Amino acid sequence: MAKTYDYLFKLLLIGDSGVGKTCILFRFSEDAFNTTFISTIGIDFKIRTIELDGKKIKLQIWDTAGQERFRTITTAYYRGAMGIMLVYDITQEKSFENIKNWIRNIEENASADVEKMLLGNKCELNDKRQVSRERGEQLAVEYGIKFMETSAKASINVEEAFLTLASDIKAKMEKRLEANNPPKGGHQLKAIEPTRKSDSWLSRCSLL
Amino acid sequence: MEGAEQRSQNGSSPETDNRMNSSTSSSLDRSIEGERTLATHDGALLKEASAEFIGELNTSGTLKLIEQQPNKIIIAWQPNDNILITDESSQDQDEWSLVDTIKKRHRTVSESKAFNTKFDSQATKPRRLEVPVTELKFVEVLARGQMIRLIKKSDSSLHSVYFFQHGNADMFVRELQLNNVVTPAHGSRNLFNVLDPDARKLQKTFEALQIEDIKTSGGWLSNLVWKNMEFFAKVSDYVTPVQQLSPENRSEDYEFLNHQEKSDAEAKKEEQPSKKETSRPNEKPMVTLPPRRAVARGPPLNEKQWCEFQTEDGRISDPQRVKEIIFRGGIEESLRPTVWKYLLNYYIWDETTAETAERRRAKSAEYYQMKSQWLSMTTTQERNFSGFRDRKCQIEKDVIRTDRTIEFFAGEQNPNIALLQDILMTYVMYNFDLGYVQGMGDLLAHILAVVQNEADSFWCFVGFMDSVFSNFDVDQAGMKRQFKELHDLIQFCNPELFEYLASNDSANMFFCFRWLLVWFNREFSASDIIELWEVLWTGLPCPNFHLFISAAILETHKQTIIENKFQFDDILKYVNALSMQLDLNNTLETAESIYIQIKEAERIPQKIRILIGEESGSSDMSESFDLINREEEEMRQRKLEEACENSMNMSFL
Repeated sequence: MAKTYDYLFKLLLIGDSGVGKTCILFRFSEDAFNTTFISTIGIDFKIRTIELDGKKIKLQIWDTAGQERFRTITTAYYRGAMGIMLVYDITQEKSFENIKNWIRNIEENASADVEKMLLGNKCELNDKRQVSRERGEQLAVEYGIKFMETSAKASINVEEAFLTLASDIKAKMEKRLEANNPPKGGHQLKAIEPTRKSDSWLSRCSLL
Repeated sequence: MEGAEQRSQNGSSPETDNRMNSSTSSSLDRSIEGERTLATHDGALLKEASAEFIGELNTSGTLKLIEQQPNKIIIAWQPNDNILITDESSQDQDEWSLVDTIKKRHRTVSESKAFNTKFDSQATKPRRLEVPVTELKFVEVLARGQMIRLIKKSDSSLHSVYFFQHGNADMFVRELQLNNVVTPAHGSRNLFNVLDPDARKLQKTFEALQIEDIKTSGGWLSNLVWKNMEFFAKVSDYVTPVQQLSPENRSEDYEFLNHQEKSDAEAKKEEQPSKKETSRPNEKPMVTLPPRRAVARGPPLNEKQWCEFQTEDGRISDPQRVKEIIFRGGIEESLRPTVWKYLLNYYIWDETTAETAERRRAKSAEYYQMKSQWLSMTTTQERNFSGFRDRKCQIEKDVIRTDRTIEFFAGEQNPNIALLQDILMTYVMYNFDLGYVQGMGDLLAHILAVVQNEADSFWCFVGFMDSVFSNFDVDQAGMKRQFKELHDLIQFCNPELFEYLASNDSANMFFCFRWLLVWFNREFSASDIIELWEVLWTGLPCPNFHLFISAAILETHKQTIIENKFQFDDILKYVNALSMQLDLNNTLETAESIYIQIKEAERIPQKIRILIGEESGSSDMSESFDLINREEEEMRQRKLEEACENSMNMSFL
């Protein structure tokens, strides 16, 4: 079957339960919002193909259950992820505090050079805000990653966030491809991924 | 390809894999000189031991598996007094597992790794109760996995008994198995024979082949086989002694290998024909199943039938027959609120109308007492009680996300949502350790919608939870067990599908997670799901019938999966998308047909026999559990009286 895309990027959405991961994904993949969402059980993914600098990029975006207990299942899917959206809820202080734990979780289970981005979701609920924009920015600076406040409900920055993440991955990848000079194509990506640090995540991640 | 890269890494280093695959794996803590801790589980209460340890009875401590010198392994229990667990101070340090407060309550072996570092570092060590495994005959798991009993080899007398406060004994026993200390006894799921050193050596060789891991992960064996031919050579060296050990276990594992070899050899076409032992591409499946028989569903249990089953004083005369009718056709809607109470062990079939009324009254009182416990929590108490707060917060987040297509919960401001929250909060007080886990709300919602009474729904929910408790284990041990059981079942009843899944990194059955966790709640409409659940609650025709439901769905969609050459992620996507597309009657009929077919097979592997309840380690589980309950109850009563007395005295001072 002919490939309808130039690159395939595997992205993950992670963050505490109820921060709006599924809604962000729904907004990005269907451009819609539904207030009566039910909690996510297990794991699922959606696909959307975007175009960046004339290249067709197929984004496979994985949505996971947030409750920490299901981590043994969800981390199995971290492998091979090229980009991770860390999501917190600006009206839930705790979800912001937990971002550092999620980062640690990534460090243990995803490949070392996975591209990360921090999202403060539900920014339309400004009157219920518990986490200031500045704190979000500061945390992102601390981890050297990009940051955006988003609203899946009001459709703010969701598209932008994914495009940013995808374009950062693309840039990183093309730089590598140049250095290694292999033939072009989506399949090259994963072969490059897990070299560094592979030892540490191998021994730590829990296959069931 | 992701799977390929995973395989090659796995295959290249069996030792790393072994560690990786076991999330409970041993931390190499070397706190006591020369000792290597292979596994540890804290929150183990010493319940029985020799007289010199009488002072430590009912003390919480840590149970460890320790290698003192090569080939000298001991099981040691040490009381907590001197163990420094710095939950608070280490929160911001390096272990994620420390941070979640819910988690703290349920340290299992995997989590307790984090705490090891501080063990034994004190100047004085508390007394340690230890026994070399060579002096033990077997290890028995009791009280729904909450207790283990060590039996001595010399005179088959009791060495000691431990009660697991956090989680259950599963992970510790699994560690014992992984370290080749024990092996499951034939014919019992709760009994584990302690291996003698020779047997242990043999077991190790098998472990090098990673049978367990292969079973759960699937797909990459071929690599391992080709890269590790020497292991097979070793196995053949050991094959003779195996026979003397335990013919049942041996033959099964060995068959499994053959079978898996075959499937992988076929799947990967990297033939190496010279290696006869490992490549049998044309071997037939080990058991030929008899032809499939068609079964048909029947009408639901109706009012007339139900009345006929009731005796004059209100007992239900033939529960087995009632269950058979329900299994075949479900229950008429109007009868559900009543019959569910029996199916979910809230009401007792053999109790009279008067006894049932008394039970209901007492249980309602108990419910509201537990409800008042959390309702009377002060703001300060709540602020200082993160475990409670976290559970409450998670419940709040989830109940508003209840499936509003269930009529009972329809609409934005539906008051029944608050009812859902109250019951789940009360369940937290009923079982704080389990607390609330996502998915439990799914289970309660339908019960509440049918039963429509708060206290009754609670007790029905308790009954349901009792049967799916392990789905929500903090270490997900119950889910992992079911993945493996489903793996075994599919491998046996549908080798073609199994091989396809195995060659696409899906033999681990992860993609069935949602099905198993909430018993297909997300896959069927509300009206179908309650019928499916009442069928499953009958426990007919065998335990684990829900795995046959999974097998039936997969079988129905096997052609699509194989013909479209679905890969690992396509399979997950496809299975998720089957939600609300499934036909319940077909699924139930197919599931039963598969069951009958297996039942009629000439030779059924032991693991499948256990799965369908033909072989079960019957044990006095409930009895010992009641014993604990009684003990605890008495102790609590004493303390309560003491507290009341003190409080009285204080007020008169």
